Parts: sequence; structure tokens; C-alpha cells
Amino acid sequence: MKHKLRAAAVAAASSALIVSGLAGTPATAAGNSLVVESVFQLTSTDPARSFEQTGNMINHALYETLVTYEGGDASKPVPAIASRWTYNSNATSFTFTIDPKAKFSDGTKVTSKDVVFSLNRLKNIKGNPSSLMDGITVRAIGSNKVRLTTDKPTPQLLAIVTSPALGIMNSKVVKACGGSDAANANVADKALDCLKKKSAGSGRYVLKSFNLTTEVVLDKNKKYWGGVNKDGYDKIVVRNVPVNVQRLNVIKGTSGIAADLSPDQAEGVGSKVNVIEGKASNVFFFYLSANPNFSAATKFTSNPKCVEAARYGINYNKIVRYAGLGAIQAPGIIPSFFSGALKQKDAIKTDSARAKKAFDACGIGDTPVSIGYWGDGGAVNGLNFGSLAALVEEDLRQVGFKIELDGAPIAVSLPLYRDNKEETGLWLWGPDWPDSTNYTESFSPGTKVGKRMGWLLGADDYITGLQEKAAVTVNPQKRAKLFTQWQKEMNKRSPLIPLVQPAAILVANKSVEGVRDHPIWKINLPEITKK
Amino acid sequence: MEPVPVRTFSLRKMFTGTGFFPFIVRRLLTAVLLILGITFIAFSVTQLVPGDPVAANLGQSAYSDPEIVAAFEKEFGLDQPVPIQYITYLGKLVQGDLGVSLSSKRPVAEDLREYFPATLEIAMFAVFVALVLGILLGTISAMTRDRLPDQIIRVFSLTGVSMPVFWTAITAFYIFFFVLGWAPGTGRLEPGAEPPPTVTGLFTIDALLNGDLSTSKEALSYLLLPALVLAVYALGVITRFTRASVLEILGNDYVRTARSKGLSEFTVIRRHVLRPALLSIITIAGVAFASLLAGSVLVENVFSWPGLGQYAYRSAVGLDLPGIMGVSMVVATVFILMNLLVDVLYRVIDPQMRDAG
Repeated sequence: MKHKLRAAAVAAASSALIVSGLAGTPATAAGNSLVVESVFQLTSTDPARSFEQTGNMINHALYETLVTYEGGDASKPVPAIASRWTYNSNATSFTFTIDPKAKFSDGTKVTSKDVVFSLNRLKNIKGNPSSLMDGITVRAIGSNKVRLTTDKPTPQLLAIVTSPALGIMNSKVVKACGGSDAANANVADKALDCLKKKSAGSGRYVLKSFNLTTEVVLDKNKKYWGGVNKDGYDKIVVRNVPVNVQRLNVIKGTSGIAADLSPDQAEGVGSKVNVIEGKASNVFFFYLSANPNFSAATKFTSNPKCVEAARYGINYNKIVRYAGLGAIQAPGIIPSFFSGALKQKDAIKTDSARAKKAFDACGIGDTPVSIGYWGDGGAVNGLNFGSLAALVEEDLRQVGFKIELDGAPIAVSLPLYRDNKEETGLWLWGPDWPDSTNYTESFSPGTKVGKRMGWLLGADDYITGLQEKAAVTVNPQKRAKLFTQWQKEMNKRSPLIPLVQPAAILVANKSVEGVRDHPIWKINLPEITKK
Repeated sequence: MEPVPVRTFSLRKMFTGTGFFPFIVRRLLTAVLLILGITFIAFSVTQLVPGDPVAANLGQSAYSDPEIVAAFEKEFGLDQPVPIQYITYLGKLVQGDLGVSLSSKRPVAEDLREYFPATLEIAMFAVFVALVLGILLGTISAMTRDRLPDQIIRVFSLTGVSMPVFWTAITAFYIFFFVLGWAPGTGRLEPGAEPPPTVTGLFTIDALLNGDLSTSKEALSYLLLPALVLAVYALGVITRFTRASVLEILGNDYVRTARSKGLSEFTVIRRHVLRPALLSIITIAGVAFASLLAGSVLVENVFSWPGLGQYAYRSAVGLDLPGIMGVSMVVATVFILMNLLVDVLYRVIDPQMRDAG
């Protein structure tokens, strides 16, 4: 018996050895290829249907827009498919001249027909990013010019045009895939599947393969009309990898870039990698519902004195410390790098005495009030919503509020927030387009987030007036002043309390150059080169 | 002349008979009813969740546009009353149509065809390892009761059933990939590598069928660590059960009789101990397989393994009702088939059950 047992043990040990031998050495990014790891926020590589961060990053490499931004900048548009552009004095008509050299990856020349098709398709598909085309009409002026017109002054149009959703597609290829730009494109367009198999753009890369949960592979566009970047990678593999594994992979060298590390995780990554630190475009904020009719608590939260109590009771320094490396207090809802952003000196300073006085005047007393937030471990830029909510809860309890944490999975909590069914909430905002109007148009009374906070049109005519004035002002300096003023007034009179603008951290292998964080497409893949 | 017995087909006998075929027919009919019940429960539960699939699947701007919301609801039938949605779903299900996923925007059946083989590959490997090693270690443990090998195996099996699978996965990845460099990393193949042409969806097999030994070996090397991690819990359970069953049987008179007849210890164990112990081991193996499917969600996430677990997680987070229903159908079918297989094996192994019908 002993002999048999020993034989069995030897067999088991041998199997283990074979197993370990098979595993071999770790895989590395083969040849001239780059592995970029991120937690996928991806639905497709169809520009008209994709509006998530990973999708933006990939589509920016596949599809060029009329104009774009360089590096990490999001303020100065530079030529892309359009070599030049003009607009009228009240910013209602923008004319773009298509670069005569511009060609799609199959060698077809980019024409005004392609631009009109792409933008109308985006508009009529009624998908996630379609609202970017709200109020915009596009028409061809000959074969090499297009004109985008709007009903009202839209100085932010150039910023909107840079969005990867407005990527220009080869209309012939997309139509052959079943694509349509007709008014009924939401039912007539059948190109989605096809566009997961091949791309139809003029970007520096073409799509090689697409998998929604694992990886998207891009090959260098060897016919790129702007001249092939010899230092660029031949292949880029964007992989869906959990954050903690991203960290190990980038340190080990099996990936080139880790896109989602938190400041804490980026510390101590060692000398083999570079940590690229920027400011995230996401701003975390807290709000108190201004809808007095929703619950017993919102009768009070809608009272400006309650908002004042919360605004001055929150310990912002503690939140910034929690957010870690590179984070700053958000002095306003507009991130630090956009026009008219407030300075740190304008930020609200914690004032416990003022908070307690306002709390007494508010009258909420012992009425319990809940905080809604993304509660199943949801985190962005390394900041966990649950932890942030706990910090806010602790501060507000010290002021006197009877706060209850009411986090829920995103599929449950997000609709409650969007439908104004929260007493208070802790959320973030990332820009749909890189311009401060995205904030004035989203947070003023009666706008998107305004309504979510129960702050309806007519609630504050002064702020609405500033919003409307900023929307039609073309002069950049005057616009910036209006944005600044709008935010200062928001800090005095709105139910919104900006909390923190975290750092955006990218960790890259030292052999990878040109890595910069961008507010819209996160990483500018076509600009990355090998050392 | 002797009369020749004529076999006549009797529908009644098929449902009430004690033979193997009526048994299978009855079990399959029960399976259909079970699946119907599961569709109802899964559908009802997803409706009870206080979430909004439209909000979960549309971005901030799109959700604020009533036209876009209406188009989305119409496209996925969410504008219909819930009972109508359920009846429509059943009608399509009968025709093999599992609907269109809200998140991937393609037929759920296509999604499942892509993701299920990945889970099947990892689960099959894990079950194989757990069964072979579990029975071996359980038997050794019982045979060396209260001695050092038994103590070591008991600690090992207890650890296996006690450690949360996500923790095992992260720890194993850290040690075998990051520290030792034995494991190749995450995914099913090297980043950007071309998968083998699909035949079964199992990369190790498909590559072999394509005559591509190096891809098969590469796929196996990526498969090993996640499969072994997935096997840890089942291995612990099977080891403990095997030990308990073998110990119970070892005390029987017929084992003593077999030994006294001079049979070798190996023969005694194989013929007189393991064979009767197999009944309870098979039962527990079915349960263990269920735990593999549950654990695959976490293991697949850590190892970026594109299987059913990742698809289920994505569907659940996005309130993708057709996706959730599709996964439920697959898991339910696997469970039912596993139970059927266990029952069939019972009848094969145990003559008493075969006779009882």
C-alpha cells in the first residue's frame, strides 16, 4: 500500500512539474507592438454609437475629425481632416476646407460627401453621442468644403467637432456595411457589426480585431495620408484588465501603459516605469436636492441655509488628502484647465461655526437625510464613491445632519440620480466636449444636472442669465470672465458643492514616449512612439 | 413454433416504465418545465431590481433626450408591458432566439457562442484536476488517518474551501506571474495574438485541430493558472468528501473480508472501497461544478478571461435583461444536464438503482 501511495505522490509531483514547465516565461509585448491596459468602458468602435472613454481613445486613433487637439491640450484646435476653417462673427456658421491630401485607409479621397454622411449619420442614429449634433446642420459646399450652421451662436462648436464621435467615415464603405445617414437611421443603419470587424476612417491606425470584453487590436495604417510615423508602434493592443493586475503588468513589462491606476497605486511602482501625472477632467461633487416635494428631508435640503451648512461643513482638505497625489480641491465645477476655471484661492474654505449656524437656521433637526452614490465599489480616477460619501457623511454629522449612506449598484443608483429621486447625492461630471459651456449648459437651473438636483428653470434667473450670456459670447476673454462669474454665483446660490478634482495618472514603460492624459480620449494613441 | 415476442410502443409505458429510456424521457420533460420556471423567476427578479436598463445603457446626454430614450425602448421592446415582454421572450425562445443584448447590441446567442466555450474550457480543466487530485488526495488522507500525510491534506483541503476565490486568484497571480514568472499573464493568448480558427471554441483543442501545436501549448499555458485557481475550492470539497466516504466504507465487514482473503491493498481500495464511495463523490462533484460556474465570475475578472462570468457580470451591471436571461438559460441547462448525468451514472454504478428504475 505504501508503495502505491508513494507512486501516486510521485505522479502528482511530476504532473505539477510538467504544469509549471508548460507555463514557461511571461508573455511580453511582441515586436514593435504596444499593450495599453485599461478597465474597458466600451460598447463599439462605431463613432456614431460610442461615447465611452475607451471607445473615444480607440476611435481617436481610427477616425480623424475635422479638427483636433495635440498632446494633452484641449483648448487650441489644430488641423486634422480640415486644413483650415473660418466662422462668422456670431459663431453660427463654420466653414471647413478639407485637406486635399486627406485619404481614408483604403486610399479613397476624403470628400465633403463623407463629412456630411458621417455627421448626419451620427445625428440620425439617435445613439449615445447623437446629442452632440443638437442644433447643428451640416451641408457640403462643393466637394472639398462643408458648412456647419447653428440656430444660435455656438462658439464651442470647434470643441464639439474634435469629439471622436464626429469622426469622419468613408461613406462608401459604411454604406456597403449597411450604414445609413437617413432621418430613420436609428432603424435603417445596420453597420454596427461590420464596424466591429473593420474600420472606415483616415486615422493613423486601422482596426484589426475587436472583442468587447478582452482586447481591441489596431494595426498601423500604412497608407496614412499625413505620412507614416516611423517611430509609432506597428500594432497597439488595448486590453481590458483589472486595475490591480494593470499595476503588476506594467511593472513587470508585459504591458506598455496602465491607464487606470490610482495615485496610491502609482506610488512605489519602481524605476522601470514613468508616472505621468495630470489633472483629471472629472470633478466629484455633492448636492442637496432642491425639490421640496420629494421627501420629508428635501423640504429642508431645498432650503439654501441647509446647503450653506453643508457647503461650509465639509472638510475639503481631508477629501483632497484622501484623493492623494496630484488632487486639488475643486473650487468650481469647471476643471482647472478649461476657460474661466476658478483659482484655488476662490475655493470654499471650511467654516464649522458658519456651518452650524446655517444648520440651526435650516431647521432640518433630526430628520434623517440620505446620500445617494455609486455604491458597489464604484471608483473613478482611483477615488471610491463609497469612501468619499463616508467622508462627507462624517463631516455633515459633525454639523448636525442625521446622514444615512444610501449607495447602490450603478444600474440602480444612476437612474435615481438622473430622475431626481435622491435627497442628496455624490457624483462626478466628465466633459462631453472640452469647453466650459458643457458645464454652464449642464448645471444651470433647468438643465440636465440642474433638473437632477431638482433645480428647475426659474429657480435662479441671475445664474440662468449668465449661462445664456456665456453661450452666445464669442470673444474668448469675455467668455472666460462669464464662466468665472457663473461659477462664483453657483458657489453662493446653487445646491451644488464641488468637492475634488483628482489627478489623472498614467504609468508607462520607459520605452514608451509621448504619453499624455487627455480629457476626452484619455491617451492620444497615434502620438505615442517607441524610444 | 415458439411465438415471437413483439415489441409494441406504448406512450404510457414511456412515462411510467422503469427502464432506462422512460427514465431519460421523464427527466427531459422535467428539464423543460424547470427551464420554463427558471425563465419566469429570472425574468421576475430582474423586474424587481429597482434599476432602469435605459439609464444603465445610455449616457448622460442621451438619457436626457426623450427621442433617444423612446428609440432605445422601442428597439429593445422595453416600451411594452412586462407580461407582454415575457410572453414575447418565451415566443422567441421557443424558436431559439434569445433576443438582442442591450450592451453588445448583437444577438445573445452569438454572444454566448463566443463566451461560453472559454468558460467551458477553464471549467472542464478545473473539474478534471479537482476530480483526479481530489479522489487521490482524499483516499491517501483516509488511508493515513491521523498521520502526517492526512494532517497535511486536511489543512490543504480546508484552506481550499475556506479561501475566497477572488483572494486565491489575486494571490496566485501575484506569486506565479509577478514573483516567480511561471504564469504568462492574463487573457487566453498573448496580447494581440490571432486565435485559432473556431471549431469548438476551446483554443487548446482548436489549435490542435488546426495542426498548430505552438498555439495550443500557448493556450494551455494561459489556461493553467486560472483553471487551477478555479479548481481549488472543488478540490477541497472533493478531497474532504472522498476522505469521509472512504473512512466510512473502510469500517465495513466486506472490506475486512476482502483483506482477509489476501487481496492486495490496491485491489481492495479500487474494487471494494472506491467503487461504493464513488456514489457520494459523484453527487458532490455535481455540486462542485456548480461552484465552479459561480466562481468563474471572479476568476475570469482577475485573469481577464473572456468567458461567461465576465459576460454575466457585464450584463448584470448594465441591467441587460436579454443577456442576464441568456446566461441564466445556459447555467440552468448546464445544471440540469449535470444532474441528469449524475443520475445516469448512479444507475450505471449502482445495480440496486438500476433495478429499482
